[in-house]
Amino acid sequence: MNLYQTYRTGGSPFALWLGAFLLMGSVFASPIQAQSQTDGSIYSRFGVGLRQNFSSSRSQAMGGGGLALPSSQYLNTSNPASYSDQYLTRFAGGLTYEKITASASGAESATLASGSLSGVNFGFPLKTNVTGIGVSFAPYSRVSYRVDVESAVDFDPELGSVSPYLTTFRGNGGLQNLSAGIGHRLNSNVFLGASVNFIFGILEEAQTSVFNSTEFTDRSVVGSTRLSGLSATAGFRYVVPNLPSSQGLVIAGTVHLPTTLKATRTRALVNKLDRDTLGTTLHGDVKLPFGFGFGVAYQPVAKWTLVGDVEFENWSSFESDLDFPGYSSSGNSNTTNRLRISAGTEFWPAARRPFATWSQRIAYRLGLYTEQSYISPLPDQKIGAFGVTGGISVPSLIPGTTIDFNLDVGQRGKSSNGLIQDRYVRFGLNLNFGERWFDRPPLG
Amino acid sequence: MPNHFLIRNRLFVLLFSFIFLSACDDPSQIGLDLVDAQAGETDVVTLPPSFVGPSEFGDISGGTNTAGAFRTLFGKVVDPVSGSFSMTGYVDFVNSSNVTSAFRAETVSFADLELNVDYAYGDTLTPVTIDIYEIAADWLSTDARSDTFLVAQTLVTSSTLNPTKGVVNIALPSAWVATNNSILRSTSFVDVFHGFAFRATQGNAVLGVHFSGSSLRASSVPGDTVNFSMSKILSSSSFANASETPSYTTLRDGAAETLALRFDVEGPDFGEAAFHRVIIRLNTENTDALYPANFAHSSPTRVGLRAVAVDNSTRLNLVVAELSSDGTLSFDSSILSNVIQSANLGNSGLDRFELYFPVESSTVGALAFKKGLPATFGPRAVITYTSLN
Repeated sequence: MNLYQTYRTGGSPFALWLGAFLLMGSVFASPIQAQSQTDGSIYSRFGVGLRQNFSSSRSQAMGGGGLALPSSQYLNTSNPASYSDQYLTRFAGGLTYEKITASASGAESATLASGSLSGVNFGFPLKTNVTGIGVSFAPYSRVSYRVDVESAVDFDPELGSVSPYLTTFRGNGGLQNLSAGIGHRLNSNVFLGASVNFIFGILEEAQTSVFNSTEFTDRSVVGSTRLSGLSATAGFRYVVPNLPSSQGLVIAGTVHLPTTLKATRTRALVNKLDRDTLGTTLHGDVKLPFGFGFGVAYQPVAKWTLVGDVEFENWSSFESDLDFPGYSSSGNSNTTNRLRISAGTEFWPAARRPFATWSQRIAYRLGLYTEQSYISPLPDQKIGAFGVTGGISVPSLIPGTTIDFNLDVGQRGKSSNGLIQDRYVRFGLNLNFGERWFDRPPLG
Repeated sequence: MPNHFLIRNRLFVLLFSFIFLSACDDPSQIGLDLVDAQAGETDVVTLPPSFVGPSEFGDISGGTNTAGAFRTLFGKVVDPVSGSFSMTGYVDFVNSSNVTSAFRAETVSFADLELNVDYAYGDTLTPVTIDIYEIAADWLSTDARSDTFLVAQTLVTSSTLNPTKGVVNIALPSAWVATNNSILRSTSFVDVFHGFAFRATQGNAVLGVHFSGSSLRASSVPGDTVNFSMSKILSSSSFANASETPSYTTLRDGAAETLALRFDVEGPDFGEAAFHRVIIRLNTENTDALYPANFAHSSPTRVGLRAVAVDNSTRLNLVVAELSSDGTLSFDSSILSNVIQSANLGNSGLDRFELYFPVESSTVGALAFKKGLPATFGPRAVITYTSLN
């Protein structure tokens, strides 16, 4: 017997079932699927869509930050430096259901709901708790909005025949981030990491006239912008030494390098499966700005973890050869720097107690965040959002595997000055699966 | 601690709850001020054709006993609406499979044509005299059109018929019978005999002979008559110009021309547009008062619309419309709007539309369509569209 052959110690049916669940979820919820329910915020129409912020189920429930968190329990894709903290092979993913109530002054409110993929990730240690690899797929931005306008048309003036119809303005799609990174522990205090990010996706806007009669032909005018390009992220974590043994303090930071996406824009007239291209195809570059983040994690005692994060993206330097809603390549743009501040806490009674009871191994999380969007519909208005998050993490029968339920309640924008106020509730269901893979069997 | 099975089932419930909840939408026009229209507003325009006039393309007038036209037409008429025209009918026969050996053994002594006249158009009081010629060569009737010409120069006989419906018998001359005696009794009759042509020399009516009940009959033994049933027919037409007036233009059944309409859907009126519904509408003129008494002049009630490509040979039948009781003809079909859509985007090579009478019509009736602008019920297209500019 080859003493150095690798083998899987796990491989339970649960792992297969988890994979099937996430695969189904990806098909059902991915924004790049034309058939998915993509009714969300009107603010997602602007720029390259609403920026998304999912790095792990844990951070999602703690305000969306967590740059300083390790990857020991959850693969922390926000900071590649954390990939070094792995002793299990991890496969995780989740879905998010979002319900938005949009309101504007003097108008009846609208309710929109959608489901989407939060993200999937996969990580494994090359050398336990020293060097690790992480691969993730998550939305970078998301476009999902829908505005319906009811009208009627006198389609046969001679006979006075009137038909109602619905004009639907719809946007869907978004940019996805497929990232692969490596993290390494230089010494007991310093961790470094880097990742390569392939950012790609389609931003689609459509106007459809829908008639309530088969005698009419419903047609859509669809504008699609396809983008793709490579980016890179570098990060560090620094464990502050000389603290009492019951305490821990980690400082972390990341830098996202600017990148240029290649863009191709087409416009088409669509009727069911027929698609006629209109006009000429446009090509251009879209330059995403650099950004950086800074985070702190503090454990006063093992059961409690506190995090605080600040993320900044320099969108005032955003440039594009193609116009986007809210951005004009000829000069008039409503972009501003994006700033996101978040804080959160986790209470995990079973910390450092691997043989605690099932109920003690449930983790409870709370967080809050505020964010200034990088783009606004109107030049003299800035779009802000704030929210409160929470979640519980329920352990499963398989060690290292949890099922997480997260909640995010918040609001974005305002209902005055011609803007819309979104009040949203997001429910996240996440599976976090960990097993020991690729281990060598013991000698003998 | 919940067991594995319970966790699995609860998660599936959650997954399907996601799918269910995602459908709970109540969208409104909130946010309308924040979207840019990809297209203009849906609108309706009534568009007159840029061209209305004849287009040379013969009506399908050939047929067999299973497909195509079912009636051959012959005669000549001076029509107050359609103008002067004449029709030449062509018929061919096939020998019966149950020919007796006695018939083949004896000399044919008698032959006649038994014709089921089921259609009469024109002056019903003036008899129609026809010359019957023998067709010289084999011919095809399938999809043959009314501008087809067949060589038939050998006069067989002449006959005078009353322009009324009913079965008529025309005895063939004994000289023709004697000449064709062996052919009529031959098993290769179909290959050797090519049928008759009926040409009118006098009268003011067109008669139609139906496949059913019409045959060539021959007998060699008294009391033993063999029927050669009709196998194919054709009607060719010769029209003078119709009596065009400033108020109407005609579409004549059986003629070697159709009525063409051309709409400028690529022009500056539209630019690029999304077409949701297109209704092409024409109104007919009541021309009954133009006809004298005793002039049978029934008109077809079903008219087809087809698209013709710029190559002038590619044709696509789109829709058939029924004339309404007030004389309005409306072509309304999603195929029509798709054709217009393709034309607007420059993808189809559409040149014009043609009106035609469906092949099952087999008449020489005509419809007079009002001319002029849409306001005066001239031809028009009522188009529901959304501008894309």
